[in-house]
Amino acid sequence: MKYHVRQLELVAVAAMLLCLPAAGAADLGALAAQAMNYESGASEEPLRQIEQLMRESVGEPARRVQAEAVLIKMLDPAATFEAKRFACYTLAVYGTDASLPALAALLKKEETVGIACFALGRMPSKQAGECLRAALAGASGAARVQMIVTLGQRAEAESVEALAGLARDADLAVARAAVRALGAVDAAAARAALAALRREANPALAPDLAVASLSLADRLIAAGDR
Amino acid sequence: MQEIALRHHSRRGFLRGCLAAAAAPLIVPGRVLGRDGAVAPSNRIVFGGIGIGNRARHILPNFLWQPAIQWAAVSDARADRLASAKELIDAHYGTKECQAFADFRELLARKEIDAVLIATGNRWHAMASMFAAQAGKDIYCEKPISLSIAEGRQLVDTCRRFGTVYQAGTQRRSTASYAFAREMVRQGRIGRVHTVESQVWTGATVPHQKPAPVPEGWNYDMWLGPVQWRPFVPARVQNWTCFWDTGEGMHTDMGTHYTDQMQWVLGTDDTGPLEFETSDVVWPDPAKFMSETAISGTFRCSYAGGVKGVIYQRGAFKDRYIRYIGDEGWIQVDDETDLVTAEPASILGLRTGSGAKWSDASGHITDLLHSIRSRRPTLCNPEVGHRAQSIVEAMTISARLNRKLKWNPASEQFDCDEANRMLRREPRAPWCV
Repeated sequence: MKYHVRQLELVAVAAMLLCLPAAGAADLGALAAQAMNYESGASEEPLRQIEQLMRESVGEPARRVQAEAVLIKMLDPAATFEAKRFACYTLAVYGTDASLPALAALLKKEETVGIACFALGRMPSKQAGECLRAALAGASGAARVQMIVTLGQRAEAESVEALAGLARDADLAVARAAVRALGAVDAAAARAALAALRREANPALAPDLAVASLSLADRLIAAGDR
Repeated sequence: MQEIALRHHSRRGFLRGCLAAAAAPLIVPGRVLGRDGAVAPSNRIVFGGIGIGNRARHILPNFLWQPAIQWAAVSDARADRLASAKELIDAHYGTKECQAFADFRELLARKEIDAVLIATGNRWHAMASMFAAQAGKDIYCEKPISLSIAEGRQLVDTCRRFGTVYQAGTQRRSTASYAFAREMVRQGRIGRVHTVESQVWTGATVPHQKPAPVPEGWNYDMWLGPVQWRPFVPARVQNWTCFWDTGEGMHTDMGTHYTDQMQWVLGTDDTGPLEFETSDVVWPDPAKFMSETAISGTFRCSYAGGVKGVIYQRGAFKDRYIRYIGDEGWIQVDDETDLVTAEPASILGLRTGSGAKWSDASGHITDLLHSIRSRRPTLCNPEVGHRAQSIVEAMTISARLNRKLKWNPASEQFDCDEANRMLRREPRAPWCV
């Protein structure tokens, strides 16, 4: 999947806002514009209004879509880091696939990888995991480690192949994070990957392999495999 | 390298492989195997301290006065605190031998250290505990044990997996007044308990403040730890209990002492309530304040048997208490004074002894030391701490979503998708366990 179609995304957000009754759209547009500029030291009224909007739109899908559009707007490159951070934290609880393109864009910048992962790690949709895996290939350094940690938190079988490869990466921080992430995945493929890594017996990875393997073993016991 | 591959991925074979992989790098203290060889020649238990700020300064004397303890090292993200902690401990022993580490992982790598006190800010409690457990250390960790329910469960699992002896710093279980109240309730002196009521103080508010340069000697990145980065704002850092990222307000922070007591008295240490709701919550005015957590409110839960738990966040610091209300009377412990009151008052005549109040944690530390030697669970072992913390966390989630929530204490899931998404927080890399 590709998530760098920024223009389409902005059109979608605009369309969502335009679907509102005229007064509501104007209000939400103004709210988004204010919230996008948030920095420490300024009033947090717009942020609290957005949270209230999310809470109060339970059971009202159309209103929730509009509220999410405000958060997506806050991920725009023009928004401050702290506005993006707030939006990611809120999307972690309320976000849907509609926010994935904007979150995918944040994965491309080292400054915003962490907050994007904060949101993506808790989104139940499979597409959120797909979004992370797609971004992983182009990432490096600390950004890549953050994505691996988040994939470990998501613990999806679909991540095993990528994680198994990264567990052999020359960057030790990447390899270690990948091993630990494998330990979180409940899948035969993850067990096989860890077994293969144990056979390779890289001493630099031994503590992480032990932690990951014990974690997996615990879950096998819990599942009745004694 | 030795071949440690598994032909079949059975659980038994799997564990065999894991243990082989673990043998070389993992530290397994001799005491775990029943040998005392790894303990210091004096047979003292060697401690290190992770996070030596205000709370640590209060509790440290309770550790240093224990003849069974030798304090060997300290760690802190702030150079000033690190230096003064080393000074304090060296002065206590009349030596210059206390080691000081800016990075707690270096402290954990020291083989001579058997156990650690973790007294960091709340954001670090669970993560630092899990790092310590994986390094083979036993643990005394200040409350709250975690800042998310999932992280708490992960801590329980990690400690079990590594055979860690862990004591949560909910030391009122080792305080005579609270133990007496429990005993009276358990003996049926107030009849059938239907309500457990407690009160913590009104939460602080923090005015808006702009970012500022990180002060000299602060490792702000290490201070944040697993929290996603944000600019350094002095008032936000100094008042970290008032922000979701770093603390969760007074009812969560102090409230865990009372939910711990409630669970202990009700005998529900391995489970929890079924429902949570909140009312009258007063939040900071966002035009004036950047603090996020509640100023006041009423936080409720109910158990399977119909028992209700209530935490009031209101009043002054000195007004905190817990009261057990039954169909034949009540009994209350005032936290500030340690005074026990009851109806009927005749219950109070049954008290035969007294003891130190909660501010003296020596008894709680002694319980940990006994457990370290016997390898038996402490009074406030990880499961106990996790269940107590889960209650205040669930109340917090209910307040933030402004929704009544049903909870399954077996699966540790809510009846609400959004609440379930608040069960955990993504740690900032590289902090993961």
